[in-house]
Amino acid sequence: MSAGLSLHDPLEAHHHQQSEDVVDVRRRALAEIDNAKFGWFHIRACLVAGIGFFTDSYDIFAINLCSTIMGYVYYADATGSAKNTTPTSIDMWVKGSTQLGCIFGQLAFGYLADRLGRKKMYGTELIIIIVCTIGGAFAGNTARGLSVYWILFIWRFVLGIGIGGDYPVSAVLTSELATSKNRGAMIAAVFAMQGFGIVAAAIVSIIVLACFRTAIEGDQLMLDYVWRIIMGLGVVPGILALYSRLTIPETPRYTLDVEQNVHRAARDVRATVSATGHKTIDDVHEPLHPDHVQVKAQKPTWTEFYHYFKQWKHFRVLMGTSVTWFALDVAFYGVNLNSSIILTAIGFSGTGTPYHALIRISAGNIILNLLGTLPGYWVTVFTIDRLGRRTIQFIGFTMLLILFCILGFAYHQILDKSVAAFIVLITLAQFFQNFGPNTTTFIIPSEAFPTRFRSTCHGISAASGKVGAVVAQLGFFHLKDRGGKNAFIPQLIQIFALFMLIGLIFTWFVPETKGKTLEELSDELDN
Amino acid sequence: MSFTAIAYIIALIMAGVLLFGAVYFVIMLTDLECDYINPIDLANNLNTYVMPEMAAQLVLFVVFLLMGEWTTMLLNLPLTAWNVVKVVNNRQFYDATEVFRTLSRHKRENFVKVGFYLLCFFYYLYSMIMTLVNESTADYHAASAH
Repeated sequence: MSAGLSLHDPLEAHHHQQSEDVVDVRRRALAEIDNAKFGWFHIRACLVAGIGFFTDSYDIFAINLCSTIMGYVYYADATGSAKNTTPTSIDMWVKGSTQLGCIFGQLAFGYLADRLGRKKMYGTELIIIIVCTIGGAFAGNTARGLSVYWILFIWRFVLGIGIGGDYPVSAVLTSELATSKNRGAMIAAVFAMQGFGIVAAAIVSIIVLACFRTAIEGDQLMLDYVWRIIMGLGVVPGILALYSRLTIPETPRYTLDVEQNVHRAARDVRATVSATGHKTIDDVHEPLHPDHVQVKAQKPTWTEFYHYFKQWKHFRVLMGTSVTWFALDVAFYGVNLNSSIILTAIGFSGTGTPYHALIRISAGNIILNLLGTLPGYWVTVFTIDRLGRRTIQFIGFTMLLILFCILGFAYHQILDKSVAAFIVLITLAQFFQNFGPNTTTFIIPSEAFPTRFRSTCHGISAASGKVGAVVAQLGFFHLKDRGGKNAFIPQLIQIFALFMLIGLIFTWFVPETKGKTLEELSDELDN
Repeated sequence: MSFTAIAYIIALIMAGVLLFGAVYFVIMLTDLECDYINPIDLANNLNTYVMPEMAAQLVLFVVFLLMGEWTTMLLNLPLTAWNVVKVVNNRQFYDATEVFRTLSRHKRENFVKVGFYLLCFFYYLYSMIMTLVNESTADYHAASAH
């Protein structure tokens, strides 16, 4: 390679040869990841990473149902209309606790994964999730002061930190291990596990309720077992995935770009891409160089972060991903406000004996989610690498804008004229949320930033999303009852339409990342 | 809770597991195609799961036959018959020397199984919900009639 060069110093020539070797090894290692054929390794990576999101949505559904069940247990002696229902103020905090914790988890784990490495952080958040879910399932009253609801709030807040931590680390891990052709599909598939989580939670609830049926009908307070079991069973997938998470090798890109250890990265690539995941014999040989080229690791610092994002062309990407995620999550919650109305309309309402009511709520939710949410996720998985992220996000926000305008301004007319049309509109809204911004706002931040900031920026975007969800949950919870129960909902939907417009506008700021390698994306941004 | 409901619950969980198994088979076969794994490893890996899968399918079929759930039984009949024929002719295991030649046939068979188990999963889910909801409605009306 350096045959024509005449260098005086043999050591310099040696260094020159070394640096060319290093560049070569780096290029080959990255090419190997990017061009690998899709195999069991990739599916396994998606499953292991997706378990966190599965648990997340399982848990959200579970707390909604369990809060209702807890009303039957702890407020069975209340009088009048408050009987058997958890009071709204407590209900709101118990349901919002995880979202609050998520914000802190996303920021903290996002930063730490860049600073310490993906491998070091991965597994930690799953341990937090497992411990806190079990703790929550065993929550009880203190003798003075805190009721079981507040103990649950504390456990779930810390659970939120774990779940929030999962967002940036899983996304970035998958993004860095994926082939550039299928990267969108893989990350979308990880996120799509959320759809399964809801369905699984509903199925588990039905099964547990059915098992406890005679007990419940004899003594209503036996429902206490039911909600604890439903909550606790959420840890099973997590425990199954824990070993895989703790033993995952560091992503080659982090090793290359941040730790600057090219040979270890190349070894890791070959280890991960082989189907069995074990290192083969010829990979253990490490070239014996007296010193490695470029030993100084490029750990991200705040000064560097500040200088990088002081430039508008970089900052606008971060702003775009954060604001769109915020706008989306505000409205995401709003669609779910209507689910109880739909359930009543299709005959799966929560009236009658506790058992009767609860089983119908669960069954109705399965139907609702299978109709709109689940297909939305999977259509995105299969089309995202063809259509592109920006296209899908535009489609999603536009359709949501239209749908929310229709629903917001003609709410009562539609409900009075045809409930079926109402259901169709809400289902379409759920579909276009997932074939649209919900998935793309998750995917784009895990691709559009350079390796040393990728996880931090994903964490920031995700946290701004969760801030939106918290704003919706805590802010609008009481707002929707202004002027009577559920009377403010049409106006709320109009507000959501406004947020969709904001999201649509800010989508202009995010880049299209389809088909490009991660290196191309960060090089483009640097130029 | 009636026995039918329990049967459907177990069938639901089994269908989920079998679905996962079929997907695993498909992925392993595509890995063979891409040279990530050699035929001997593949054959050893997959052959450990062939008999358990057939046994599970047979158990489901027998349970529905004995329960008198005729539609569900008829749904499962083709696959069970296919499995029985394979075992009788000793063709159920993957042979490392032949697997490259018959790869596309095996892949097709496993794709069909994935589709079938997916269909079964949703069908059992639907049946389970209908059984449970109908039971609870019947008892609700019986109770309120007193």
